[in-house]
Formats: sequence, C-alpha cells, structure tokens
Amino acid sequence: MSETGLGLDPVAMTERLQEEVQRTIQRAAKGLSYMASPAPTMGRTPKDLLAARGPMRLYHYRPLAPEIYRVPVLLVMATTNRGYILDLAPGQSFVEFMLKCGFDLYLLDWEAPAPHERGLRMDDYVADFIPDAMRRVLADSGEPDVSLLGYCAGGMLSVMFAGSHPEAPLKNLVCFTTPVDFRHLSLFHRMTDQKSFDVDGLVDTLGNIPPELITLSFDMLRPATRVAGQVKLWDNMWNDDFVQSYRMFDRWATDSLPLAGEYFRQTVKELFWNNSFLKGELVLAGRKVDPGRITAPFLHVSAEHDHIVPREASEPLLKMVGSQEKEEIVLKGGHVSLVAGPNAAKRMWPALDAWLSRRST
Amino acid sequence: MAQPPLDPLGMWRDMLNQWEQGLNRLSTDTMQTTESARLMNQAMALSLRFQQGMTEMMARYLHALGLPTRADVLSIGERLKAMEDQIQTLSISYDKPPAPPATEPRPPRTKKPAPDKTSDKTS
Repeated sequence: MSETGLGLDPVAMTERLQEEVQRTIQRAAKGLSYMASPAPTMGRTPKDLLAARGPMRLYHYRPLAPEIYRVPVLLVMATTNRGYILDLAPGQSFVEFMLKCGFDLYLLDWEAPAPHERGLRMDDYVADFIPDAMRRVLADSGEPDVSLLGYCAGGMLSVMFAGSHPEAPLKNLVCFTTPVDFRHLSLFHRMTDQKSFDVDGLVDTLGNIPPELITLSFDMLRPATRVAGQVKLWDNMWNDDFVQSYRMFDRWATDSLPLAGEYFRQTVKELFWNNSFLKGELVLAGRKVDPGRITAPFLHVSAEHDHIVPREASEPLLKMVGSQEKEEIVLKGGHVSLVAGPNAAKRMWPALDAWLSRRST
Repeated sequence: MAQPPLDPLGMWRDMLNQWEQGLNRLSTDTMQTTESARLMNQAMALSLRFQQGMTEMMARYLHALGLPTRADVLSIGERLKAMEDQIQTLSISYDKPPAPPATEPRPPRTKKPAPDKTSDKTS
C-alpha cells in the first residue's frame, strides 16, 4: 500500500471519502424526514392511573413477569421533570427492565401545578402526596409494606418523608443522585445568592415558577451543550439510533415542569440559604425531618460525572441515614445517563436489581 | 509505531468537543462569581418590575374598557377545569360501578431472588 509524502494512505482516504459522501446523502434525506416527523412517544409501558389529585399522579404498571416479588416498589419522580425518563422506549426502559425482573411497580409522577396551586409547599409533597400514594399502593397491592425509590429531587422528598415518618411501613429506601448539601450545587447556589436574589419578588410576581426558567437554569450549567448538540445531531443524522436517542433525551430535557411558587420559595430559603436539611433543622408539616430515624435498608446510587448534583452534594446522605444496613454505589455516568440510556442498562439497572431483589420478599 | 490515518472530519469533531467543554468550563467559572450572579439577579429584578408595571397598567386599561385581564381569564379557566374534573369524576363513577381497575388476575407474589443475587456484592 503506497503512502503519500504527507503520510496519507490514498486507499484509506478514498474509502473514508466515499463513506462521508454516503453519509452526506443520508443526512440530507433523513434530515428532511426528521423535520417532518413528530416527536417520539415515550412512557409507553402499559399502566393504570390509580389517583389524580392536584399535581399528583399515581400509576400502577401492569406486571410483565409471571411471578413477582412480594414487596411493591413506589418510584417517586423529581418535581421538575416528567417521569417518562424512566420509561423511554421498549428495550431502553428502566421501568420495563424492572417489570421483567419481577418487581411490582408504581409511579408517583407530577403534573404542572395549576395557578391556584401556587401555595403548595414541600410540606404538601412530603406529608400529604407521598403518604397518600403509599397508602394507595398498600391498598392496591394488599401488602403491608412498600419500597420507595426516588430520583433526584424525588429522592430528596423520599428521604424527607422517611425521616419525618419513622412509623411508615417502609421496606427499603433507594435514592438516585439525591442532593442534601446545597452549598455544592454551586451554580444554583450562586444564582440564588441571598444578597442579590429576590425570591419573594419572583414568587410574588410570577406565582408558579415557569418551566422556561427551570429549563434555562439547567441549560446554564452547560450553555454550549445545546448548540454543540445540534451540530452533533446533524453530523449523526445518518445514524438512526443516535437520532432516536437524541430526540428522546432532548424532548425530556426541555419538557420541564413549573414549580409551585411556595415550594420554590421554601427550597431557596430552607435549602439554598439555610441548608437546613443537612443541618437537621428542617421541619415539614410540624414534623422534624431527621434521616437518622430511618431504619429501612438504604441504598444511594450516585454518578461520578453528575453536573447537576455533584458527588459532594449527595455524599453526606449515607452518613445522615440511620439505617444499619446502608450502602452507596458510585457509577460512571452523569445525572441522566445514570438512570436512562445504554450505560444505565449496563451498570445501574442490574446493580439495583441485585440489591433490591433480595430485600423484596 | 504506525500513525493513525489522517481524518479531517475526526479532527473537526475533536475540535467541536473541545470547544463545547472549554465554553462550558469558562461559562461555569464566570457564572460562579458573585459579581455575575449579582448582575444576573439585577437584570431579573428589573425585568420583573417591568412585567409587574406592565401588568398593572394593562389591568387599569382593560378595566376602563370593560374587558377581562389575563388574571380574570386564568381564573375562569381554572374554574372551568375544576368543573370538568368534577364532571369526569362523576362520569367515571356513573359509567363504572365499583370494580377493581385490573380485570386480569395479578401474578403471584412468590418470586424469590436468583441464588446469584442473594450475596451482598452489587456491581
């Protein structure tokens, strides 16, 4: 094989050029169908709505295994995002994986709070919605206890619930990327600086915090990523798998939920300004939130490269929880790739199945 | 050692990644200064004051014309939604007499973890 004086292999160069020409043709053809096609549908695993009250939606997934574990699992979603990140598409769905493993799954998901629900506080989520969902799960399954599994802020609310309701029939508690030390959510912490951030003015003027503001604040953590993502999408337009995955994640990332005004005010004042969850000073609905009173087996799963909830923000959680049986798993990946996508299917899902299955009988 | 073949598009993709990472880093560093947070929050406060002023002015204007404000329309919308929810609840209970939502029998809750999952090693 001859090479040019520049160290170039003409045969390899020709092949590479041909491949690129093919891809360019495919980009043009598939780009057009991309523009014309509707957004992908997600959250397709069959489920039944058990309860709808305010922003709360409680679903039960139809089992996919002939035999299931005794203990039902209640997934608690973050309040800023939609639950379908856990159920992207057949073959790429955490929910489908768990159902096929034999878990009886329920999902506590959230809808946008209506303007008149601006007064909802963390107290309502921790002392009303979660206990109500738990009661309904117990009634529906006929079992005496339930495992709670929360993602991000859903994990935070689950720990707050467990730490303020030690009498609750909690079999296991699992949290994914759950923040407890809000000083380390550095950009959010800086943006909500007590000296310059007028949270009262914002909430009093807007009522609920609009989803555009939530999406913008997440985008500000990585401002170049959205532009670079568009370029990468065009570069990979010939690759159907890439395009499908991009569309699903992009749709989810921009499909933020508004936050109830008082919930946001409380989050800023109690968590960002006072860090009261970490200090053990948080009181919700008249109950002190003390994770030290949690006795159920506890698992925290965090991601090495989480840019939303860095390790330092979630690390103290394991020490705070009082359970004798507790464990933390740190996996490669980011905030979203921990729970969804090919890496999650390879790393987190089997690890969770291994931990939870032996505690679900 | 053999040199990898020259790939101009590969180089361009590397450059794109480096640009993305560099700009993200630079932006994060800039945003994390007290001064930029103060400026951003000042801009937000200004925008909110402007929005509030406009809302109040428009409300006075619409009131003078005998027209509803955005808040009035939202309030009517909320009341309509509440009525629709009530009707739907009544309709569900009328159409469906009390019955378990799942008509198919549920699988037995007898599953045990596979022997290789009973140890404490997780990943």
